[in-house]
Amino acid sequence: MSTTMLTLILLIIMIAAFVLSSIKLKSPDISMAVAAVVLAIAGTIAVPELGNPVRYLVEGLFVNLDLALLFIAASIFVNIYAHSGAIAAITRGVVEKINNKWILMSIMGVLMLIPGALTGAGSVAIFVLGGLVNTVLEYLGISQKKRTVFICFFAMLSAACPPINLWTMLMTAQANMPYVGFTWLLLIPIVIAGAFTIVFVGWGAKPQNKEETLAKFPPKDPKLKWWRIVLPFVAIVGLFLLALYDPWGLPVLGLPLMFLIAGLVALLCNPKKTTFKEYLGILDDTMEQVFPLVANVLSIGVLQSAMAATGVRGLIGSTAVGLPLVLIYVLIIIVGPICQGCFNYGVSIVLGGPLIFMFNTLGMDVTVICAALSLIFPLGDTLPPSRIVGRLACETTEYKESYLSFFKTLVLPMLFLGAMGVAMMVLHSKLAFLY
Amino acid sequence: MEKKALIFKVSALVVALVLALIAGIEFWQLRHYKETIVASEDLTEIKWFSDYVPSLKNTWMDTPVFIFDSGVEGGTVFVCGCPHPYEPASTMAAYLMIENIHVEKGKVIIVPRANYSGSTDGMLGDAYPKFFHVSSDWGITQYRIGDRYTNPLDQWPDPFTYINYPSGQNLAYQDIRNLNRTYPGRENGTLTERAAYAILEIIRNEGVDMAIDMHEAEILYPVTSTYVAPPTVLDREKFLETGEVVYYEPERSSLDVAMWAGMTLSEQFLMKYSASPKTLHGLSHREWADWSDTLVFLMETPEIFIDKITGPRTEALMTEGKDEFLQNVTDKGLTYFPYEMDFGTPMWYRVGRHLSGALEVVLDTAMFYPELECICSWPTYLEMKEIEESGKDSVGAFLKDPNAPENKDRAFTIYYKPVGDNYDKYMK
Amino acid sequence: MVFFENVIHILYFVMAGLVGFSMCKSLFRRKKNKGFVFDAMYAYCLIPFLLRVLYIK
Repeated sequence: MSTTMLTLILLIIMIAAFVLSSIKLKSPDISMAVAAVVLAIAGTIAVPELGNPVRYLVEGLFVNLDLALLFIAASIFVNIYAHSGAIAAITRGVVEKINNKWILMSIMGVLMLIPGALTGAGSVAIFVLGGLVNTVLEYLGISQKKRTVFICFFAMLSAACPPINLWTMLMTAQANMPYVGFTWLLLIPIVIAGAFTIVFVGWGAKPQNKEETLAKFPPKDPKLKWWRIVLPFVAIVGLFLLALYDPWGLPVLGLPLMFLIAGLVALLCNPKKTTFKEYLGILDDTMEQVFPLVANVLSIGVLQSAMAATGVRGLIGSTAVGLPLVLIYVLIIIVGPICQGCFNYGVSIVLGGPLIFMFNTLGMDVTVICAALSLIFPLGDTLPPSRIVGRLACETTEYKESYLSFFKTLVLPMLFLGAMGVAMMVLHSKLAFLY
Repeated sequence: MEKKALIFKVSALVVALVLALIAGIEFWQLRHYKETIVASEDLTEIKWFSDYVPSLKNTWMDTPVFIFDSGVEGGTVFVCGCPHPYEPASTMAAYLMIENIHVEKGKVIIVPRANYSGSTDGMLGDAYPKFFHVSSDWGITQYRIGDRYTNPLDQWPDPFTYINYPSGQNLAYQDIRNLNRTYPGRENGTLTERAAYAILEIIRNEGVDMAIDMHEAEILYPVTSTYVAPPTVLDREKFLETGEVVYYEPERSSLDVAMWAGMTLSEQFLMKYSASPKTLHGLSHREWADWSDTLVFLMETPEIFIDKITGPRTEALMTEGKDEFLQNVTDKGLTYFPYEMDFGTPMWYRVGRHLSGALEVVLDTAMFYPELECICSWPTYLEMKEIEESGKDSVGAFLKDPNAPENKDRAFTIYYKPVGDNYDKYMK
Repeated sequence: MVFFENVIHILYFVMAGLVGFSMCKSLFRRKKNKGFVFDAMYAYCLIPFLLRVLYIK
């Protein structure tokens, strides 16, 4: 049997296992793990030389271990910060002081971009600011579905936003390019897509009565001075800036530790008399809250390993790069995000790297292409099997209707950004002035 | 809690622990497996990275440096094996050099496992086999296939973006554990940066005239089957004084040598040459030349395992390199190597290319710059090809049995610290 | 600097250990996601933290 046929059969087996377990177990995370195990077993039966599949299944759990730690640390920071009443105070302040709907939405959009721009993970933007943004948008009279769309889309944009775009980083690393020159190439489309989404979400919404909205917030805590609110953010932003501008003057802290340090500052700034036991309770709740996402990213790594080992990854990657150029332009907007749904950041390795090499062979401007792909791939964070950002956005706004109904509304901004990405690929040579 | 639920939870935990145990044993084996090589009779001294950067002592980044000094004045050659442990032909070539080298003039310094820590881990998410095997007349020996990066057990965490010292260039976050992105390194930096600094210290302190860095590359990558050498080098004094980046053409050009060597080797196999870009920092072919006075040559062999888009990832794929998907992609004109699936990219071929590639630049450097002449020899591509044609494993044919009585005095276990008594005899 | 790098390195192992411990605890006692599917996920996701803190992987 040819490798193509063999891996195609394995791909079908994997998809079947995923679909069946999704129906039966109703959890995308465990379904990914089940699909990976079934694929690994089928692969080992078909190709005994692969050896013991347990090693690479377990190895897969390490692929996103740092990302999982980042999610945990960021959530701990936010929950301690929220416990002090700071987030409620900020929301109250914003609603009190800003009256213009579009300005308020723009501020929310820009705020949402920051955590992902600094960490490279859209989910962190939702963890840190999702609740606040949801409350403000609710006050603006935006429906729950559109609030979810706003949070989800801006979280995706924030992951793509410079300075830290992990897709670009991974592709440049594979293609031996410096991670330089991407700021405007990424930022301009993000600003345009963000503005489009603000109009799309905010159109027709009528703000609620301000006094009534303010009455819903917890009462002001007189002990919660401005410095108590600002200091934890100063800590995290300060650490980021230090790491960026004095990288050799301090040891590598890593994002999880940075968030934990900021969490510690938030704890010290908390005006409430919170006992040690209460803090332990917050930590316990945080772990439970963040666990589905941790399970999700760890499971993706396992699936990624199984797909690599069995050659299913090779089938997808080699088929994609072997397509005619026009077809790549047409399909990248679908195939790119679908692969993102399967591989998470691994899409940069599976699809991004080979595509960069291919475009380079054709003499195209790979810096622009790399930026374009880095805008298209994040769209897959709303697609199965993982749909990390989409799920998290739904959880944040407590959106209870079907995922599909939310997704239908999200499609338009997604297509807008995707089309911009494709346009960048087609017009690559004309955009070189941006770097 | 219901009894049934408790039983399920305990069962789940037990299953997880069993899985962890099974996988853990395999990870442990990979981490602690020790390779043994037999150095040639020309070995004169062994140093360690920690002799150049003391803080590396007792870390998994310390590694032996084999020195073969003819005692006759001549050029000094430095060969770096295993900067990226997931490119195992680089390590094997270094091992074959160490086992078979003969030096008549000048000095040869060989580091077989430049990133020892990285060799003790697998490529995450890429399902690399742990080991590959080489058969000799005296038995089958296994060698590790490692990671591209330093093992996180030894260097953790990564920053959110890696900023190369001293260029200030931003690179991908995980490149802080990539030895070939951290040059010229920092004496007080991360573990990988310190190893990079140790290599620069070897080049500077041992008066290295030619430095050869052995790598492997995917065939989708333009620089596969290529020598990379810098046409210009940094004006260090100006940079250190003013911070201004000015490049100039050095008196001796490694790119000239690489071009000549590439043309000469083309009779045996495709070997291109490429100029090291000024704009990409942290790599040996840029920083070794910028921060020392040596001639630098980076060599890439074709290795399809790195291409990612392969079929099932077995040991045979690593050692034979036969893959239908890569053939399809090559047929569409997307690769930079005339890949033929029937032949593949076998290990002997890649090792042989490195051996002849390194020897050729040593020879051609002497031709261009006679004062740097180093006369040395080790197995070549053509010799290996001849052995392969007779049906034997040519890599194994040049390996010596460490257990044979005549070799016991020169058998060295490659580990992050000296193992056995033999090291003591060569460490001054 | 090397000293601080080493301290941070150890801190991360401590962090992995605490997360692993918390997951183990949550496997047996938690407030939400109580189904058997999550039991399996908790046990499975424990593995990398365990192997990391044991200095194996």
